[in-house]
Amino acid sequence: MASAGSGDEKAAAAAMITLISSDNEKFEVTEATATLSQTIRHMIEDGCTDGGVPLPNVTSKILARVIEYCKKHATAAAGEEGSSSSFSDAAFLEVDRAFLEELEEFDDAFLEVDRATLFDLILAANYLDIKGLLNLTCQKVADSVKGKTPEQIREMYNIVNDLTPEEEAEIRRETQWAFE
Amino acid sequence: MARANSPSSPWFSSGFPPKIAAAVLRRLPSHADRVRFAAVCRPWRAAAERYPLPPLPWLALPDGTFYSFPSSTALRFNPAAAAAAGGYLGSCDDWLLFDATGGAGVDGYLLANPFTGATARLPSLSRVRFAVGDGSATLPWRGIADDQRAPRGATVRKLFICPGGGHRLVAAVVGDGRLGKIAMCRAGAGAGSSWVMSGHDAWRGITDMAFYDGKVYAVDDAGDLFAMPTGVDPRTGEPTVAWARCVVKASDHGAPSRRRRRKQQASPSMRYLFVHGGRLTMVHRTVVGNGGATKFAVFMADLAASRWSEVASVGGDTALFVGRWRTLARRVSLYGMPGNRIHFLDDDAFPRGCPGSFGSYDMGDGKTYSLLPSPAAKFFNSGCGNTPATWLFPRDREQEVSRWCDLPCDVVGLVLRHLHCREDRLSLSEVCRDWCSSARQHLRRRPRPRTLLAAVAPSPATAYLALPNGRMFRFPELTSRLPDKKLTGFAGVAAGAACDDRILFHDDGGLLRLASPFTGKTTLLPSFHGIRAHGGHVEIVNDAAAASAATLWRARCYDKPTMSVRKLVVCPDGGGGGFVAAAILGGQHLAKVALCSTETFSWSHSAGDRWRRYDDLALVGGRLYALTGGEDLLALDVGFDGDTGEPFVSRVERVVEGDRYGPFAGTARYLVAASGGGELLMVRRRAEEDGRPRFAVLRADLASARWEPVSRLRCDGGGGEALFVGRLCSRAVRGRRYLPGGQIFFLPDECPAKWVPRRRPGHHAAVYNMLDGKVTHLLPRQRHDEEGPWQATWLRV
Repeated sequence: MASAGSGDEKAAAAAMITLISSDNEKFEVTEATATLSQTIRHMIEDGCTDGGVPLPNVTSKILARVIEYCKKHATAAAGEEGSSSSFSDAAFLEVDRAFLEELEEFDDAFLEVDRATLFDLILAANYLDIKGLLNLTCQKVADSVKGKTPEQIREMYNIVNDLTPEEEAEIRRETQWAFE
Repeated sequence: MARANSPSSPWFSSGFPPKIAAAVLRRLPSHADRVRFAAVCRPWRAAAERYPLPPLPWLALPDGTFYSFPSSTALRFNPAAAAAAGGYLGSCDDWLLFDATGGAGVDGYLLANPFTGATARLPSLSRVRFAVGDGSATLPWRGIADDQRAPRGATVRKLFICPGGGHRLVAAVVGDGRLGKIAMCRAGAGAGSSWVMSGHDAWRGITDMAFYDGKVYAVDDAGDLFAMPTGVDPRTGEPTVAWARCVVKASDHGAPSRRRRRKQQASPSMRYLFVHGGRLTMVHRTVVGNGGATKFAVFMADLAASRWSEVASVGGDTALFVGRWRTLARRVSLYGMPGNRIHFLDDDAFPRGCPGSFGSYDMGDGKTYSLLPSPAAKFFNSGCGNTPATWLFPRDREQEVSRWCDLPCDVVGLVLRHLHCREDRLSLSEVCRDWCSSARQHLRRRPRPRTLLAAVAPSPATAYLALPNGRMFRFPELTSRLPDKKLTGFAGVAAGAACDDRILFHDDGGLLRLASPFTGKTTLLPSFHGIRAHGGHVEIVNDAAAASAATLWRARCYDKPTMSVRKLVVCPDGGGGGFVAAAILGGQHLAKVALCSTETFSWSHSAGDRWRRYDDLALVGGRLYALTGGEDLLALDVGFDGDTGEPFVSRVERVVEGDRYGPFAGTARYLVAASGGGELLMVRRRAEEDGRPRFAVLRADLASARWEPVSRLRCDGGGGEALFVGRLCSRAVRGRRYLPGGQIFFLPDECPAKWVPRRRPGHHAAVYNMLDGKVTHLLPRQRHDEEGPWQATWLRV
């Protein structure tokens, strides 16, 4: 292999990033898609993405879903950039709104997952530092616990109550002020 | 022995790599093997806890043998249960159901858990309370036999324990396999307990039921889905039943008689109902042809659209375990087992003993494979007893416990921030120890309890008051917040305008800089010095036309000391409408609307439009509205020059005609968009003889082109609205607990009455109560108040 390499090849390699899941599956994504993750963005900035980015905390199934999200939202971000530079078209607004609605629908459909997958998505979004996805998934958890008692939440998420009644009383007393 | 000779064995040391244990565990799909693995030693147990996987079900056969799926070794692990197991009726999660009738003075049903040995009694069907109405009234019937419509030989056909609450409510389908009805009872409630059924509800061809979202859902043989809310009578502790309402009507629904005839003639079918992936799911099982192959179709309930939608696949990583007593989905890809499968057992809705009565159906190719690749399969063929085999699902509580408890602290904080109700946040922090400490940590980061609410739930109700000395105060709490360094640096050259959360400054380079003291975000705007008159045609509707405007403008333009930005409006989305900012630019009395776009990076005004006395400008629903001193409301349309792309005012329409002429001294008017969106409010502030302010709020009625007085500020959400009015920035916010509606927050510095000797008010801000007209002063004048060139203003966040 020519050590100099061809410039074209390098440019193409720079545009694509390989993500490697915990079970060793490789995913090729564009840089724009990958940089939705702050963690990967920093890695790219530090120039340590040659030979792929190993993500030991993310399984291929979850990574595929995360990439699906990033792809959709990366195109959305590109669309927004385009809109700020070209004002003249009044119809653009209409297109934009339609696109945003589509994006919302995508997000809703994206969240139609079971609790185990949701949990994995949260962990992946947290690890990869994808703000939008983390917000989306946390919103879903928040929506599911709204109006529920602690017991119902435990039931829903299969959490064992490891608090003694005294501790529960203490939490109520101690944190009451925080919520006034 | 192992203990004696291998204390240093790497298998038992704490240095045993958990990853290897995980790899081993992944190759142990059967629940029995996993339990045994975890019981070996502490490190192995820790590994099993660390890499939890949902347990696969057990298969209970009528002869009392158990198989831990997919293992093919028969087990009889609880002799007592196994001995009795031959007589079980069915199952429910990890419980087996027995008919306990026949013993001395004992009747009813018995639930026995072969895993733990626990038992619970259920009442007999000869003890049924038929409830009518709201559930408190009861029919004088005492048992199932009293109900004339009940099918003969009705038994419990399906059973589950409702999750949630400490009541251990049991829901059951009672029937004969053709007709059924939902009954509820409490497990182990004692001898006096009874089943509760709705007296009014019809007996239907219920085939299966599931618990979903706090309700019992049942599906009938036509595919109709019924929902019945569950609950407990707070006085007696007895379960309540309600009328089961049809929530999904299947499309192939015919008249009942026709349906029954069809059922007799048609090939047998069965519908199983369960919850999968957070949605109600129905599996429809049919036998094609005479003794032919078993086929499956899977439907998801779309409760919003009230229909079933068929799905082609159950997911490549998921298998369904379908049975008459219990149906459940499990992720099997973790065990390296094939997904998109439906593992089904024999069911008395189908002829027994035929080869297709149990197996593993592949949704992909529609073929049925053998359920257990083993000699165990022969038990199915032996056709033992009248009872079908059933699945037993061991508790997977421990499995997911550690996972959700391990939610990172920051994530719990984020969820907390998405909860706006105090009770919800309290509930979340009371769930378990880890979540509690996460919630506490998150809350501790907030410095003060009072600001905490706004910090935890970013509240749109909060406004800030920025003083000319650069200090800012949060409303309504009135806590001072030190400005950013940037703001202090800019304070000396502020240009006297503000918009939303930003203040306009003169930049060193002669440009204008719109900077937010909160986020540090800055937008550059062109200077007003280069403002150009645009000669495009202006269509003026319902208002006086322009008169020699251009000359007047030129004269004014050079008269710089009197020219200033009276009001600035910035497009919220950064210029989606084509212009980024609109301003009222002019002297003390007359002014024009100027527009700015980043495309041309210049300000322009329309030469064809006339000078007016503008009081306020607002951008509502993407349209510019201007309020004049005569209380006319003008709607301004923005056009774009074809050549230069410059924005200009292309159309002026007087949409509301004011009934006042000429400016009134001592009166100020503000244009505010109501918080509900859409509606425009005019706030008129007048100074009385004694110098006290009086406010009136009027709503723009565009249909009749008039101002409608508003006596009390209300909005859709109830609780009323609070208005913050100021010359530079005004807004309406929905009232809430700490910010009651019906109040107008204003700045006493503005609009002093001409005939009262000018004296600086002693307060920076005050609030006017719409109900009683009382004024409360809020913020005493700051002592070291170096008056800058700009005035105090509200800022919104």
